[in-house]
Amino acid sequence: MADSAPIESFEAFVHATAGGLHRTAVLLCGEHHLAEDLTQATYAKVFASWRRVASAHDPVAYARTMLVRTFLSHRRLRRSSERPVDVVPDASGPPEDPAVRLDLLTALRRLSPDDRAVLVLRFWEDLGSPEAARLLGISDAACRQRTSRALARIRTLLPVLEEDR
Amino acid sequence: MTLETQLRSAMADAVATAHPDTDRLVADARRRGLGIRRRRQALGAVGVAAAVAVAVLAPSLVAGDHRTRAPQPLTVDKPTVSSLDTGTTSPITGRSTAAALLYAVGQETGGTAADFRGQGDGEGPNTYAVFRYTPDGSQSAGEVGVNVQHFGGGAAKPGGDLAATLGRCSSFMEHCVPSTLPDGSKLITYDDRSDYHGGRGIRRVADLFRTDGVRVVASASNGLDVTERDEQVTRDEPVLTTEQLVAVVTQPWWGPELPVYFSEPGNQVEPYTSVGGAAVATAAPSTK
Repeated sequence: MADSAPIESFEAFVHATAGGLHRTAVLLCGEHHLAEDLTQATYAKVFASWRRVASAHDPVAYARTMLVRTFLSHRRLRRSSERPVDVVPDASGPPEDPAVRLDLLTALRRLSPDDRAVLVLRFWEDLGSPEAARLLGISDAACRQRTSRALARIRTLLPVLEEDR
Repeated sequence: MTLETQLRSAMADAVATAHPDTDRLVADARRRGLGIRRRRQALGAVGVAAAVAVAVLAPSLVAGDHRTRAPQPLTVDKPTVSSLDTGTTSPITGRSTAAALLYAVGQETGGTAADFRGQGDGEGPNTYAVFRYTPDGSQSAGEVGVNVQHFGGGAAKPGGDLAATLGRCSSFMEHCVPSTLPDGSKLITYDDRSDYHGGRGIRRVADLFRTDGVRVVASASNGLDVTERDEQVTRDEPVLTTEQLVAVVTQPWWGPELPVYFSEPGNQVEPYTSVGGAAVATAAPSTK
């Protein structure tokens, strides 16, 4: 959806964007059921702030920011484990997909949520380092460093990436 | 082919068949979104009313004095432990958890509390309560919260998953001190420092896992929403010390039922916002 396109309704926005947002959620969570819950939680926030989202310069980017921040904030809730949660994005579960997919999702799950988020933003959402840094609330230098570290880790976890180079 | 290119390709493959049910997504998001709007409206009302804080555990409040229902500062003596009848209990709720937390904090220090929030009203046995707390003599508030979880006695048996996991330090825990109490309960205390804004936000935590399967996690912060992205750090140190938090979690009456002593005060804590739903007993903290 182009950022200048008028948005007729919340329903139309979901139908136009759900595929992309959900795929990003799958990569962040590394698991489908949690990704569904994360996607739903994000759209619930979008609905609750619909007027603001609809009038944003880029509603899709706005929703994506909500998704990533919901993911990271729920990770924090779980980390502290003091508060009840209904989304636990970094839990592991038995994967059900074909071998190559299994390997990538499993490898992503083994990364920290911060590392996962930076890889997804940089290489799935194709954001530049400054933009990803702003979204993650860290400096550009820290984002570059985190990207480099995450790439090194996923290469270790997923040797096929290394072998095919 | 570069590593980055391969990674992009692998990501595309991994999610190629991921398609959400958009009709269900719309319906569920609407339902949850309406809940968020309702809570937001309630919190807006709380923000206005919270300008007048409730004094920490006024005995008149604990005694069920209905004249104190309107939130206003109260100057009273600290209650005594002997006044607490622990023999008669009722199922724990978010409200009674808030009252019990007030009581436990009031045993340790003086201050004012406001902006009560809780989860688990009518949905026990896992509850959560938090309030904004300003120690006597201070101008800056932090948050004090408690999460009460009940896993059942079997969960605490040696060798069990929970027993093996809880009570151990994780990498994100600063100044973590694990210990085993004389009755076999596992206790850890630590500081959870924010990753944001130079790490100024601190959530100080005492996490007790008792042998009867009850877990009580109390925390105190040096601001509002600390360790979250929009944290507001208001002071250098959290509003409670580790020793005070330990005193809170080791109160013997925490459990799936609380003394009825806290029921009526729980109904009177104002302003109070139920964040809705059942509180879910979570797994142990993940390691970073």
